[in-house]
Amino acid sequence: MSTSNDLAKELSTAVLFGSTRSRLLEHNSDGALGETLALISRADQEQSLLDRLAVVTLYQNAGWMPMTTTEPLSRSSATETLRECSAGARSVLEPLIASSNERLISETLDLLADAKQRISPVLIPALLDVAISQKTIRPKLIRTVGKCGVWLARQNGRWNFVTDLAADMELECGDKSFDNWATLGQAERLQRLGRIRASRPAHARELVESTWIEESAINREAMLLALADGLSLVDEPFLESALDDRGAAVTRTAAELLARLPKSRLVRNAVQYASSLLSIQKNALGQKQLTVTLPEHYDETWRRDGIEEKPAIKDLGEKAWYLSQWISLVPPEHWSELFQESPRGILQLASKTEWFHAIILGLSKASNRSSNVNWRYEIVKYWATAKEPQLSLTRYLPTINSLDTRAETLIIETMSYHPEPLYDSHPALPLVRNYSKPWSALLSRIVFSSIRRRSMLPDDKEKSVWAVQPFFKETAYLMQPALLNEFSELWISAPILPTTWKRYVDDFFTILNIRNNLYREIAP
Amino acid sequence: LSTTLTISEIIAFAPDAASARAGQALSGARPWSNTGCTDKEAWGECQGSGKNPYQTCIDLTEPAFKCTCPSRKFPCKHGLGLFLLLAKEPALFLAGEPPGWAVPWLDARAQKSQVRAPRREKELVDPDPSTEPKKTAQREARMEAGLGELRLWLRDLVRLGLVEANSRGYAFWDGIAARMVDAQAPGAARYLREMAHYLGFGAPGHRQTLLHLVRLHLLVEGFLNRRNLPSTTVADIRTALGWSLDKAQMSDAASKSGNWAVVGQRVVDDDRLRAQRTWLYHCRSGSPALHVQYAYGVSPFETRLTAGLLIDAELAFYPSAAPLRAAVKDPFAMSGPIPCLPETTTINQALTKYGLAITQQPWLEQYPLSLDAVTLEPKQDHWIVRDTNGSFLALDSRYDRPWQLRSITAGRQFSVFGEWDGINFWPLSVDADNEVVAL
Repeated sequence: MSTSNDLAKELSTAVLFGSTRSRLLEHNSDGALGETLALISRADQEQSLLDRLAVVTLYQNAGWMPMTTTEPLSRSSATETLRECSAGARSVLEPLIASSNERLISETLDLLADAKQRISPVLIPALLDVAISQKTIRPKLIRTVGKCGVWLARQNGRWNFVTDLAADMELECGDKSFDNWATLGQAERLQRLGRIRASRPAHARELVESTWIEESAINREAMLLALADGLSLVDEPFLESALDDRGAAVTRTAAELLARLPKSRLVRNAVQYASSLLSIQKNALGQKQLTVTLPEHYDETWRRDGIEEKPAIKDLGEKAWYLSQWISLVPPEHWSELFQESPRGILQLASKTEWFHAIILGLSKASNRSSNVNWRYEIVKYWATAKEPQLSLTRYLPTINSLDTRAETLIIETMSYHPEPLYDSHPALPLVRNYSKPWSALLSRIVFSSIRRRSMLPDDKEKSVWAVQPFFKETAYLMQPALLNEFSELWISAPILPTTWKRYVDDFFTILNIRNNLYREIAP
Repeated sequence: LSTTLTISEIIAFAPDAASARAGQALSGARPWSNTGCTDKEAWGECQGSGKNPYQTCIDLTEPAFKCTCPSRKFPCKHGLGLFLLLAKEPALFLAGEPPGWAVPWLDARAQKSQVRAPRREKELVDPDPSTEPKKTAQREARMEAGLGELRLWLRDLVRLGLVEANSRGYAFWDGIAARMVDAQAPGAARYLREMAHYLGFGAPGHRQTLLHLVRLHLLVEGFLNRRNLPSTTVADIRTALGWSLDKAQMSDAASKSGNWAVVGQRVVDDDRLRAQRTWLYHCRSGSPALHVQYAYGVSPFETRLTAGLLIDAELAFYPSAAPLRAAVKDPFAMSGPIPCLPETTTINQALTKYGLAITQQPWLEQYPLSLDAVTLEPKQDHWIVRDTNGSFLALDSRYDRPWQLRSITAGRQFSVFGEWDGINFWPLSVDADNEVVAL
């Protein structure tokens, strides 16, 4: 007697390879199957073959029982400690992930982390897939994917970055030394350095020194950049040695870091030399005036301290370029002390010289490097509250992001000083465009109102809005989302918009609406 | 009035992610004016890029959408936006009479729904008595001739062998499939094309090919010997061959009313034709039902069913030896999320039911399985669901969301509902932490 399996195999083979090529054995079977097969006529070979195949297949499928396994089950994810985000938050986030909206995903992850919530597991695989290409969101994942996200990533090689981040966090939390640092690849070393520097800055520098000679020039430069956070005088000897590196970009970066240390040899040297270039004297009327002595020629010894020979800015001649670079290495408060003048007073004196651009560029760079933000504020304010600010100077100005509330004050003061609604060459536009921190309600209202007023004005060739219009959309990422309804009502009451504005206004409200939904759904 | 649907359930109506995003963007009060509602409908005007605002209306009972915008998506972003606004800010919708522009559409829907229900029943139950027998006889004769030819062709095929047939290319199969369409037996044509498709995979596709060959052979022999078979089996054969219902078959059709849980849904693309399979369970009796509908291109499916929701509806079952396929009668109403999956069993128990069903209806291609306490595990190069007895089913290799299922269940035991095709399992919804999630 044959089993149904034997019969099925034999009949299947015959059908697959053809009845004329197969010799069917006249197998018999017992029970109901055998009885049914016995009823099938063998007169027509092909018909009989099909009939028997049908009976046996149906018999097998109807009685088919699954295979079993005794393999141990794989480990499940550990119990979560964070609360899962709400269904509403999940609904808002899902289309953002589907459309790979990096900026809003990033903001959502920050919100979740602040609220001590985790992403819904339904969304984790899609989010990890997005992070494969969008690397900026990776560091934020580790705080929001929960234990399930890390557990999941360990099982899928495409999501290794999560596992690496988790491993680093475990290492950072403990006091383990990085015994395997030298055995890591260059990319891995670089990837981990920033996080180690944040928690154990001296250890991070020691690790860099331990493999310094093995690194490529690109990696050496990147590693120096990673040391920018938590910089202190303890790092000076290493940075001084890096000034003699064979890579130009490496020495430039080392000089940049040393310039951020007010007591470093490089800065002390710069203070001494730059002080000989600027001086204040009184003229015949007893008025103060700034006297500038330009460096006569380039000294090869300057190169080691990062002074470049060829101007990087075409507006400046070589000597003005040297002057600007030397001033940029001097902490700006030095000039206040030396000349016993306020920053504004010094800027006013400088504006009367023919080297104003070089001086303001140097002071701006120096103020960016300094922890004292007062000079940064004063430089921007001096420029913005001029009767007719020189727009060509905009790119020389210090960054205002780190001024926080004072940055907002600066922008608001500038808009108040120049009350016309924003247009492309409005002095406040470069300031507000470069301020990328979340805006207060006051700043949000002022900027919104200004742009709204501009949108209602007829086209003015002198005051174009080619830059303002797309910027309006960008403001939706920075304004307070809770103002959505207030802004909506204002705009509803507005007359019909010109078509040139329509798209940007729609985009603005789309983004603000999504952010408003996010903030509402992800309450701490 | 407020809708009983949640934001995520409303977003589920979106035809794609872009529409979902655009709909959410329009879910604020800003673009909307003249919003209002009754207990069955909601409306509003949305200021778009045109001079005049778009007029958007929703029939909340189904729901159905109407908008004057030129979008070809359905529902459009305005319909979704208005629905979401209703869910989030019901206070913005003043109770009142529908505006003049909405009345014609709403009236037409009301009339259509009054007419459609009896008409559908009429179509199913009461064809024109004077012409029907003649038409039936003509079609039977055409099918008999066509299937007689197919019977001979299958014998030749078996003589030749499937492997040799595969080497002759698709034209070999397309010719006979086209003749089956001409013979008004499109179901037979589909089996032939699928056999050709699975043969293309080589040895891994042989099992499916042989299964389809058996189904096709039984279909041909069954039709040619239909006079000796029970009426329910004949009905199954006719349905499998693609012959829509007639009076004789539907007169005994059972229908069942009440709350139905929409437990899973799957859309299968076949070139431009999309087939949507929706699985339902009767909440009181636990009976399963399968609703199948088709749509071309991006056009919407006629009946809007959303997985994860309960509907209050009457379902008419197609006559069958193992009744499963059913039509959802108009009108029906959605009534919130389903609380849990239908009664779950072990894999062995579920397959025993399946075995019984296919002995009665050998052309069953998908069968609903509701499994208890399984885990999702990787096994070699595929995924399995495994129960506490160690029994396991392989997931279909085309199943595209194993990682999502793995994430939702976090490696723990869960209940799952899905389709079984006799070889592979396709999960459609899962009960995770007492929440049914449609996959």
